[in-house]
Amino acid sequence: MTIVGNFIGGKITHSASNETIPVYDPATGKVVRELTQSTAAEVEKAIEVAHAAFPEWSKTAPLRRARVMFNFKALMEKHREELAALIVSEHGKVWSDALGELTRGIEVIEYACGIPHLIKGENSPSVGTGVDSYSLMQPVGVVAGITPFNFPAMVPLWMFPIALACGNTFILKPPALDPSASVRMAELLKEAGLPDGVFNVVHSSNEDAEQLYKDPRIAAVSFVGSSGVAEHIYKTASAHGKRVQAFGAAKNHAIVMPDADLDATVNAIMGGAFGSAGERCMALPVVVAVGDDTADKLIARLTPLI
Amino acid sequence: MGPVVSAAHQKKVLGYIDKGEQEGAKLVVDGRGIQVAGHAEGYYVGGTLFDNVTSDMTIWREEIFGPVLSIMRSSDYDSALQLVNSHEFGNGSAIFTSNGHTAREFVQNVEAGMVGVNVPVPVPMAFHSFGGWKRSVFGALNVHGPDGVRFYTRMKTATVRWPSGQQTVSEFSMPTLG
Repeated sequence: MTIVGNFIGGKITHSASNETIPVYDPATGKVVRELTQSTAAEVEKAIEVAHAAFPEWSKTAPLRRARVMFNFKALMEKHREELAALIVSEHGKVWSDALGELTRGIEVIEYACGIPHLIKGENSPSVGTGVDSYSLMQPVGVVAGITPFNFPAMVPLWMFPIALACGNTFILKPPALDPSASVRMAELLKEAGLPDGVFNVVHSSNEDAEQLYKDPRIAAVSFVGSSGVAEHIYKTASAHGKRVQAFGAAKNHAIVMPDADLDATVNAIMGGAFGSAGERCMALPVVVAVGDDTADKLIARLTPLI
Repeated sequence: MGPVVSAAHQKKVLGYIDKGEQEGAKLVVDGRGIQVAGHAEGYYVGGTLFDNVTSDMTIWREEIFGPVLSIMRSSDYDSALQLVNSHEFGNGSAIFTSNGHTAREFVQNVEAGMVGVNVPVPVPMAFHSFGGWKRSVFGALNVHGPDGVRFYTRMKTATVRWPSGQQTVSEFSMPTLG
């Protein structure tokens, strides 16, 4: 049985504890892989490695950092099907959905390739006699990302391409339910030319991951998950001096007016409510139909499709 | 549509369907007990449809994260909008209409961070930023796009003079440069 490892300092590593947890294929209920479980000390080691890698990476010219992202995009496209297969085997989403998630994630890498332009500051010559003023946008340091099970590739890709392109180093704690895509992306980043220690993946219990919200070497935390955990992370990490963005739960509503194009609306609702089995924070689980006639017509069209 | 992600989550979603029935919503399509050929042990939940859902119900209030669609009925646009805005989460929202005025009003007044007009899943593109309102988000900056760059950088502002004997006296008051 394959063990999904950490990726720390440019290498796949397994916890010295030899502790693992099973990863299941939701379509069959069978164990497909084992996932290494790091000790608290090993999480701390990842922080140390990312911290040590920061000075050199942050001084690398943005243009050179962008070139790594260009290479990474090419490798992600080359290995799309391999990544989609990993996602499907652990998350259970259908093949086209896995490819779709990768496309949206790769689009963020494309955006990050423009970093030399994106981090330009502002410039005001002659604010006083012989005095000029300008601003710089500098990296913050080591950044932590904690991501949810529903988009094992896309949500990490929302975070790390931009974080790395800006000159930060990164520690990703991916979802335990579907961890493999993250580790594969770490390998591809190395192949793309990213120096060791700049991007790290660590698997641990939530308890041992709390260090990421408290360790003074971590400057920023990005989280996507439930609102309860989002609030906890926001409060904990903020209290420890970090900047935090924590995205939580959703209950998206759609208002359907009597003048809506009903057939198009029904198609839209089907995809929104049932795509990815509704496991999206942008799913569409509630429809507010204006007028009983609208509601009756919607239900009549939806029922046979569902 | 595939299975849900885990046995525990499957149980949770099925529990919500039970709850919806118990609390008086009309179960139009029942996704419980679905069997997928060749995948007897998979964590499948079938597409489920409830009608006459109201805002006092658990299935309205809580995020189910499964293939369960709730239909609510409203008599007019204003009360529909009020209902939408009364929810504690404000991630995304959508309106389906052919009336530009209604759509514009909705985009302006809905309390959500990501809005769709005739688009069910209005996830912003990579070069915009993703994020909701209210209890869907904790923090000041959205993710990816321009907000992503702002979140992952810190500003430093420099004020620079290359003097050649210009500063002849010390300046103790607040510097004004002009």
